[in-house]
Amino acid sequence: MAEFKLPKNSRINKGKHHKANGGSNLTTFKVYRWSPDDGENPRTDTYEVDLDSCGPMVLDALIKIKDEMDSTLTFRRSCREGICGSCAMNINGTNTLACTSSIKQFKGKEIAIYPLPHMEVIKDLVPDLTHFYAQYASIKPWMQTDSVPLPDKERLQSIEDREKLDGLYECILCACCQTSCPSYWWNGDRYLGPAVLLQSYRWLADSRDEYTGERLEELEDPFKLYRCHTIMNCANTCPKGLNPGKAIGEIKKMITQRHAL
Amino acid sequence: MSYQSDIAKVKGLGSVKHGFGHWWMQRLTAVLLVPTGLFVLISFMKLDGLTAATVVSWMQSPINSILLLLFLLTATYHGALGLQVVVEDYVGSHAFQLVLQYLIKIIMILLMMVNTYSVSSVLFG
Repeated sequence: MAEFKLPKNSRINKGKHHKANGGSNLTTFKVYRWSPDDGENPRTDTYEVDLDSCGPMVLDALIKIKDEMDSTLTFRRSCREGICGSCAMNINGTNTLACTSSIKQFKGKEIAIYPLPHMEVIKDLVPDLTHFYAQYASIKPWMQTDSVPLPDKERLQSIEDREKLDGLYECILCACCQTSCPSYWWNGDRYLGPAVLLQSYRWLADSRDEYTGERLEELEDPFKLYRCHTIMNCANTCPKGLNPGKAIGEIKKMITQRHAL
Repeated sequence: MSYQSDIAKVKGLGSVKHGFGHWWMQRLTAVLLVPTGLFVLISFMKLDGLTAATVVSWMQSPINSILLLLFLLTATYHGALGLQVVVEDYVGSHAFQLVLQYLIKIIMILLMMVNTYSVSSVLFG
């Protein structure tokens, strides 16, 4: 359901201001804070960070804040090189990875950091991705076959067929695209969303998979697939430069072919 | 409190295994609206003033009437398909959604009948 106003207990209040301990190259970070334990509304705390003693990425600033200014700030992070997808968050209005987002690009202006939009928040910048992962599991993201492979040989794939997976296999499931999609905001309970549909197409496009028909049959649904209205926020926001909108278009093309048109 | 597993929640009542028809007709009608819409627009612009008399005499040609009717029926059907998606997207209450979907279809059928009656009554005088 479309929601145009936040519920009363979700409205954001002004939070605390944390001053830097000296330094001249200061940038302000405005960070969304919410804890399930204190019963209070969310707030945005501001932190002044001296960039001369901080790494170049937004994640470096968050780690510095947590280490030196406010240890209660909570966020996910792991690889710090754009491959695990843990630090996906909304930075100055765009869903992206904090670890590959440089502070410099914002040219000294205040940097606003919020959790991924329209998801339940567990704490601060940590969204609840349970439903997203269950949706991913529902498309059976593994190779399904009926034929029995020879015990001493792997399943072969030509170079051309392997190339069809380029632009698909690189997805790290960070959920940036998923949570940037208005269709997913309004109907996320039933619409599979761009990330999950891109992963679906990754298996539809795999020449070794033998369950293409069954996969397409499961996807043909007004909500699971056809809620995509090609808004294309997904391609715009993907930190890996992928195009989930195109993958969804390819699924629609395959279903069109299936109907012999 | 529900003890249903996350995957059961996602699977819900399962895929309805259709949706292509709606999607395809939306595109088909959109494509059809381009030539028929342009024909009606250009024809009206060429008329010697948009008076009832000039439009009635233009509509008395069967080709003009058939293409005008095709445009009106396609536009009505396309509009109804679009409104259906808007309701599915933005109306949360299932009961209200059901009422609106019925209303859209009834209004679409009524409009199509009115379109057909109006154009044919002018054509056949």
